[in-house]
Amino acid sequence: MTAVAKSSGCSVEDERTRRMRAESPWRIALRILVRNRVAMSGLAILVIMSLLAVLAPAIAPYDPDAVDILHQLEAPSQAHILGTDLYGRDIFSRILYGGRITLVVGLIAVGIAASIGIVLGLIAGFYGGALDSIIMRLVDVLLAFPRILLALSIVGMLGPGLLNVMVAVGIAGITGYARLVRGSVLSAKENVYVEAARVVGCPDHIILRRHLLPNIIGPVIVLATLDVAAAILSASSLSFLGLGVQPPTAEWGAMLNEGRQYLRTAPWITLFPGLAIMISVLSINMLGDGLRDALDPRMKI
Amino acid sequence: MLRYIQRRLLIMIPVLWGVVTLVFFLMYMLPGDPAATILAQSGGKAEAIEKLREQLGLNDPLPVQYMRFLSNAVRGDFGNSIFLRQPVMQIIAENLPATIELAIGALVVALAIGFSMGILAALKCNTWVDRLCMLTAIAGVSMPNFWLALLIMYLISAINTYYGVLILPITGQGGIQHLIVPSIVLGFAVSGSLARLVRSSMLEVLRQEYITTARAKGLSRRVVILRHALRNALIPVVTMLGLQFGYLLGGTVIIETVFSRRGLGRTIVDAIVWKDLPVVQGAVFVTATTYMLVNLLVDISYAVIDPRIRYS
Amino acid sequence: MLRYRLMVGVVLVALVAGLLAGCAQPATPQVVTVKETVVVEKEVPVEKEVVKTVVVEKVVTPTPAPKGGELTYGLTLIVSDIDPHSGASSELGIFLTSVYDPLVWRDQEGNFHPGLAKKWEISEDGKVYTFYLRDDVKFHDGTPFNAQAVKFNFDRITNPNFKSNKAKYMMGPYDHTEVVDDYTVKVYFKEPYAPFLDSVSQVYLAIASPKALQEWGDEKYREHQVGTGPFMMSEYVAKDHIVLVKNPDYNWAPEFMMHQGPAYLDKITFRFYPDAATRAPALESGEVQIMGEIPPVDANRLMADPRFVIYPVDIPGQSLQFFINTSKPPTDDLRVRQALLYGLDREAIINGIFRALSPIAHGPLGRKTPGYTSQVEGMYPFDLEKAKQLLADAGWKDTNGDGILDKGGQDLALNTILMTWGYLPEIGTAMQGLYRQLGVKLETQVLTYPAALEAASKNEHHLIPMAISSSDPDILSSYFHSRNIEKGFAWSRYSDPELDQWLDEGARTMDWEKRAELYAKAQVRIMEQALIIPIRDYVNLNGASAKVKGLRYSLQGWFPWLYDVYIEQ
Repeated sequence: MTAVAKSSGCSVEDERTRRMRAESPWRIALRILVRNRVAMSGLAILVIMSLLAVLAPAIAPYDPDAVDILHQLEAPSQAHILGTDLYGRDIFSRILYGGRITLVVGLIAVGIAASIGIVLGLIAGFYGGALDSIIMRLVDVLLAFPRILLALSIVGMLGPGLLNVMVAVGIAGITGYARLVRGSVLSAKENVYVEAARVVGCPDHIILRRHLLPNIIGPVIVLATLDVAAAILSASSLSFLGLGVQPPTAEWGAMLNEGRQYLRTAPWITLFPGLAIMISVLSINMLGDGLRDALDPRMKI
Repeated sequence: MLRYIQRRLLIMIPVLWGVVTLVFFLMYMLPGDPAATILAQSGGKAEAIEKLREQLGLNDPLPVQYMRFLSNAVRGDFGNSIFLRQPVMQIIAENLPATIELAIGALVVALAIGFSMGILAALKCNTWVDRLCMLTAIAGVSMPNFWLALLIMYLISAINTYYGVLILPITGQGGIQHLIVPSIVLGFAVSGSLARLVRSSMLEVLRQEYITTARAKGLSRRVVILRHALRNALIPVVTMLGLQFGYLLGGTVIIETVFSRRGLGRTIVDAIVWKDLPVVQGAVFVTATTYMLVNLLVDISYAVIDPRIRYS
Repeated sequence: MLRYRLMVGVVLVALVAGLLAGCAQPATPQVVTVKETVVVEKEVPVEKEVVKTVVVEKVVTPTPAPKGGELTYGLTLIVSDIDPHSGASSELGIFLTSVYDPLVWRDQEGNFHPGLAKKWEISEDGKVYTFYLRDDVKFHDGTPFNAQAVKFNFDRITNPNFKSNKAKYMMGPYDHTEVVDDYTVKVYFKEPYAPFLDSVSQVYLAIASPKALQEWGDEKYREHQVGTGPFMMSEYVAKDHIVLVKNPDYNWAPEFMMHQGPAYLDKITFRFYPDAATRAPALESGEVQIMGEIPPVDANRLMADPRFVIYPVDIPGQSLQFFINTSKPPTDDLRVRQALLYGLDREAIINGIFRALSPIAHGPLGRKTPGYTSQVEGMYPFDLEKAKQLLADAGWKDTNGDGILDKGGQDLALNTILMTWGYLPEIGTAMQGLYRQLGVKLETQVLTYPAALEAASKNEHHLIPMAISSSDPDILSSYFHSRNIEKGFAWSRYSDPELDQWLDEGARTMDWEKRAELYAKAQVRIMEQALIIPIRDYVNLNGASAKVKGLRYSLQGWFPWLYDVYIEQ
């Protein structure tokens, strides 16, 4: 009678799910995901936003960096559908171009965090002992800082700039992956097949790659997806604090920061970039939640 | 239990050593010369730079500076701020309460919104109420808090301009009134993740056999939810609160900047920007210690909430 | 041409206004409505002179009703160190000006007036200053003010163990202080030191109660400051607020104040608003009655609101300027530097970012700085064609058609360092856009203050901005004397023995006329050599509730004289 938890979280197990058990776990996951309307709408928004970003040069009505002081701080109108900023730059065009930066920052920062974090976690979990202690104490040190502060100090050290923001946000995110992977490896190691592989004399790297990695990849995918959202927020926070991308680069957080002083006179400068951040983060979160439900609803991420 | 706490406290020592060492070298590598910064600001003469460097002990070799710093830090003395001229510990003592006040305010907001939305959603599972709650929750998580802050500020000051009434003070310090808006902004994001967790955790518990048993025994729905379900749903929530406390501490950086509040978060940011090493050291040390202690408290509280958990 | 005529007209208006201000003091007050302030925003900025005068005149009105009230004043930077002898910020002077009296006062026109010193003498060689002190002044703690107190303070500032960020440097080549009798004191210098009278007029050389200094020690004194001024420090919570209360015994106001005896206000609270976006809302909501450094766009809006008055106050000292690095290509070429000056539409920047509330700067010093020369005006009018020609002469052409000039395969790209203060990111972004018309590319990076200084000392920059306030032209030598190139702030890295000599002589010369002449020559040379791109004269846009009366700012621009201020009921 103990029910297996479900994608929606509270529906009763039905005939179809029972049938799916015969299929490969990945295909089941995919099927559950496709049926999740929230996740699919998240994906749809994400695809649209990515398309807009990629096609920005074709869609944008203006050069995003073209200064036209005569038309500064103009309210949304036919000429500038989202208005203009202090320098008379078209906000719509800047948001389109800003999308490229935001998405790239999110992906690369997570790429950095995940690749380093996974390697550390695998080593710590698989080899244990002194190596494990050293790595985990290092992780503890990094964890003792609130994430944004860590990113802030790193950017302070490297100097502001797009690349440095990605590195800083990436490094600040390592701990999550290291801990997750280590935990998964520790429990996966207990499995009979790993034990068996060892007995047969399989080399470590094969065991790691063939037997352990596939087991932990699910949670990592979920964490990474949700982390893209967090990374976008962190990066835009840094830009908002003035430590992010350099002018005139159109980045949503930086645009918000630029518009802050003109909040009363020209609220559109802050309104739209903030909306853009929220929509993209929201869509990624929706997709990430769906992924988690599909892969393992009991995952604690 | 006591031995467990003792061990955890002992582990904190090397971690804290790691933290201060990391910060020391990170800060050392930050570009900038405090002596030149001080003098450039005052229009001072360049001849004075060397003398000031000497006075500030910046000309000593790095290992000497590090050992001096470490030996002082062990005694709880982080020296004097380069720019504020006050003892670092005094600066922290002046700023920490404001940050804790804000973090607690935000926590209260998060708990209030998070629990009510989470429980409501769980009880009305798969209805429009559930969906609305969850949409609000995910929106809360996805909304940049500085943006929310600006929107609220805009709203309040627009009302003030058109109707001549100030609903709530927006900036600065002061009684509980000044705390409301910043707490809502900071707490809202946490309330989102909290609501989601409370919901799923409640659902899981509600499916357990003892709930069915309790209901079968004829206990009212209300009693079952409050006495049995909520208590057991609390464990994962408490874990998350421990983690979220770090978010709150970090989030105060931005909230304190936007709302012109004093606090430890902004002290750290300012100190990083001005390369005021002693202040960064002291403030990060205190933040890290607080953070670790909170996590320890969280672990201890498991045992209180769930008697099945024992530490040895 | 039209621009030129307009400028002459404006200068005339300013002159007339200045004359009026000079002699209108006792005249019957003009009832001038706030509408006039509205006009100002559309006009060329110099005209706001009139506004300030108007405000002053209004106050002369004898108001029989009892004056008083409490005031909250919004400060902008969070003051780091508020001990006047050790701190360096301008912000500390905003509240400490009311706590201390200087030995010598300076009025808004720059004339010296008796303060704690009734009169003073300067020796022929400029090495000895003698001050004859008032004998009726008491510190807030009841101890008498006398020659020993002056000596105690100067000794404190110059003590090598005392960390002073500004006051020590204002003491110049100080040697020692001699107490002649209870109310006569002589200050000796190793070399002639002309700026000293200006130094003692500033709050950084404030005379504090020796008893309090001894009682609290260097670490604690800042929280318990005791002066002789019209207000007493009663509460200080770091980074949060400072409270001053009226000194009921005050009876030694300088002659140019509008009344004598104790101040009107009973209590003043200073609060911090470091985030510019929060300042106008705080003023509008009534959280504060006076607010410093209102963002220009908000100031513009508030000017149209009869509930508020905007006080634009010139800050003397450096204009906001970008130093052009003369030590590396392409800016080692004078023609390129001149092209940068001719080719920048500074009026667009002033109008766009500062809402025409700051005047365009013409030279290294702002127009209100003592020693400023008008010879620098009109040296570099905006002339895109001329700029293009200069660059073409220097061999820069756009050979690859990307819109950026190049020479020998190198783009005309300038590494431009920006910082987060003073609207520099905004200015930088605007300059970037404007210079594109010229085919010049600015590669901007916003750095923290310390990192920017480091980059400049490593000679990484082509352009780097600075603006330090000062009421003495000696500030020029910190930024242009060649001895400050390697370890200092002479970021143009320009070495000219003649310029060095003028600057050195300027610091030694006692005769003000001769000093002014030397500094005028220096300013003209700096501009001839195009060592800087001056952007705007620094103007602090203070906003106040229209109920606040009697508000004036000192020559230094940052510091309000709150002694005469009262709240109209």
